[in-house]
Amino acid sequence: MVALWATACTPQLTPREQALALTLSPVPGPPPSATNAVADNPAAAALGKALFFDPALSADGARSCASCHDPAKHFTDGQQFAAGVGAGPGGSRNVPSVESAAWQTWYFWDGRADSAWSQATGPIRNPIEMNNTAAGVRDHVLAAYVAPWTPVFGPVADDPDVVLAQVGKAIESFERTLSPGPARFDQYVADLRTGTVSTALTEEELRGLRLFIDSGCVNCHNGPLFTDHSFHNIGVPQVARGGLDAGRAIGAVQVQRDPFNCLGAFADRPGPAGEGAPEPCPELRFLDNSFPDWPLAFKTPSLRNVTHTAPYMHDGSMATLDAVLMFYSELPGTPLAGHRELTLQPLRLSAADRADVVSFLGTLDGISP
Amino acid sequence: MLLLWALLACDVPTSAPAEPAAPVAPGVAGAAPVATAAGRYRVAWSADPAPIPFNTLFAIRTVLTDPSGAPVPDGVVLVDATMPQHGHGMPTHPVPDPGSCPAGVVGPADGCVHPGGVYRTEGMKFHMPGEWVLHFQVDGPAGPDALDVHYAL
Repeated sequence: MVALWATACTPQLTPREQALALTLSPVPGPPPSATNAVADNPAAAALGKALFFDPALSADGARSCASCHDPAKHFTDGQQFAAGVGAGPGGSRNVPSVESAAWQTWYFWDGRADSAWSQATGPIRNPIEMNNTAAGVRDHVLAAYVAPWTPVFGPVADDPDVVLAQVGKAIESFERTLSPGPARFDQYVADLRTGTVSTALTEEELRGLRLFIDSGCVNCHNGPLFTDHSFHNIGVPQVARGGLDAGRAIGAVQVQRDPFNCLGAFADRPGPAGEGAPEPCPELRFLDNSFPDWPLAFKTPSLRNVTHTAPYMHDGSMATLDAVLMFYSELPGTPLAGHRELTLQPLRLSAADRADVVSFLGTLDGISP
Repeated sequence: MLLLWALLACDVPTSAPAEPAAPVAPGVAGAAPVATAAGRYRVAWSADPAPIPFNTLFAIRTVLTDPSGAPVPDGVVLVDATMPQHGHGMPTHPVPDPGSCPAGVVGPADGCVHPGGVYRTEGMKFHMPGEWVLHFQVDGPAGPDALDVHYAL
């Protein structure tokens, strides 16, 4: 009788749910970097790690990349907005994690960079973040990094922009050593794949998984990183700081004009070259910067380790995952520009449903080695 | 009684909708040629890679012939795609290959030919699951014509 009870209580996934669950794990190895010749060079990764944690890369010597991307917080800062140099107001967006940087296609909430190395050069130069210049970065490399620099890049280049791009490439190399880590959900999917009776997830978590799939969360939070790497206007009520944030509508134009983009002079071409080789930078070349759904669209964030990266949304306006699910349950208001993603309908999740989904999201937390 | 209680207590999630209806049949890469809307041409198409991948750039290879099956090498084929139920198209701007062109011509223009009536459009991306419609706009010696093909991803 106890065995019967146990069988009856196991929330069984339907074939469709199983098929979708299988697409969500495991996280594959990172794809090769298309524009960084030192992306997988251990010496570059060591150099990049030192640079990532070096506050002297900022104008006031007080802020490093790690000041906002804190390893103890899964490379976020726990604040609504990114802090900046000095007493400045800082940014108007929430700090995204860099843990899955190696798997991304576009960077920043608006995708205005198309590589992790290009992204890394942004905050260093941003007046409200680290407020440095390419020349200032080159001076610092000459003063502090010649020994570890030379084996990776050779002599420090005369052109400050070349040096800045190389700093970004070293940081990308370090970021490629990071990963969200295997999670209990990955064990569940591994069991599913082999037909093993799994005890990796609780019943509550399995109910949450089914809701995650059946309610359509998986439409955008899909694939092993739980993101479609795309941009959507979901109609988050925008906070006033910095005014209306156009998101991808601006980011798509900026990335095409960025001298540090995939087609720019600072991009390496480590892949095959010559006749018959694929044309580089397909994502950038075919990007439609006037796609009508870009206004107020922001990148779908990965959900790996999401329980550790509050607050949520591009503007950090939601303190908890329950608040996020309440938002999707009700979809209050209308966007200030453009239109809300048409695939979204209010989920009408009960409090118990929301708790189940939050419980499931916890199974995406990386297991500490 | 205990079993009945257990079954009731372990109900499926309260808000989970029923299994959706089966989607429309997916397009078949390499399917037999299909007549265009006005019957001026026949179009056979395939995806590269095939089947069409989710949220990944792909290309469409189109073979354009006249109604008798003879290749149309001197035409134009433009391919785009939309999601009718979502009111949007692709986040990319697909680009047709120019074909084999005379020296000095770098884009689709008079004088470019597509041997065998084979045309290729790069930069397609289906970034969301659901029903898509591939739009083929063709032009050639018999005049303009079009073809829509439904595809479930």
